Amino acid sequence: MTTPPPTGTHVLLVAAGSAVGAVLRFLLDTAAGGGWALWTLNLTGAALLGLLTGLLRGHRSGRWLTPLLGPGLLGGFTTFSAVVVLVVGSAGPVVAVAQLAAMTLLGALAAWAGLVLARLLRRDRDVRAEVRR
Amino acid sequence: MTGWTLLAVALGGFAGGALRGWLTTVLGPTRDGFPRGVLAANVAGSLALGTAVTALPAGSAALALAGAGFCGALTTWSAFSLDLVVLLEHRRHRTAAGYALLSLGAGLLAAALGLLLGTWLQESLTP
Repeated sequence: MTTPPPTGTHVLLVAAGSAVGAVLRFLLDTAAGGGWALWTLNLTGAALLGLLTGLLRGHRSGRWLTPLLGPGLLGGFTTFSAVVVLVVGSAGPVVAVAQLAAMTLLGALAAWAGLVLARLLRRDRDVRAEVRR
Repeated sequence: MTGWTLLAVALGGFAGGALRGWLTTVLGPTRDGFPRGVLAANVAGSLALGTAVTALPAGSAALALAGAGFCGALTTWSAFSLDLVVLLEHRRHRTAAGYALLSLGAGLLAAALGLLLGTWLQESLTP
């Protein structure tokens, strides 16, 4: 088990990653436009966070890389506020609830798929290391 | 889009990410794993974004800084999704359901309040 970095370092790492994530999100959102960009960004970000968290769990470099890339890059890349503001501003109550439920369900599925993929990759790597030994 | 707009988004993103990083440190998960920090960040950011989009002019650098930058990075969907999965994997079904419902319910309410607040601000600030 690795100990997390001190609070100040953690905050700085998350902030630096978030700045890059926010710019990437802004560029993609501007290039693609429309509500679907937000779905793509959030679901991709959730899947990548699952994958990253699974791959770096217990890893020595994960102590720094996890805050920088997880809550940092992917946390800043994905967003919650734009989803709820868009839903309140445009849809009727039934459509609003359906959209939020669908994104919540699909986001959780995406994160879970990322975690499962990470476990498969780690198992494969462990098996190959075992064979070489 | 100019380089200034991108710089505004980056600066706002840095500040929003820092606030979320700090919130998740001081408001760690409760004993049953409820992610209070992310909930606080998501609800606060929804209120702030609702206010920003109605109070600030569309396409302005100020809105890029406060909206896409600060509020976008303060709030997060990826951690919300992964936290739900982790809670479900630990068989904390009720906590997971409570977390999802509270996040979405309070987020919607905060966004609606923010939209009203921003409209009011915009009207009272313009002569």
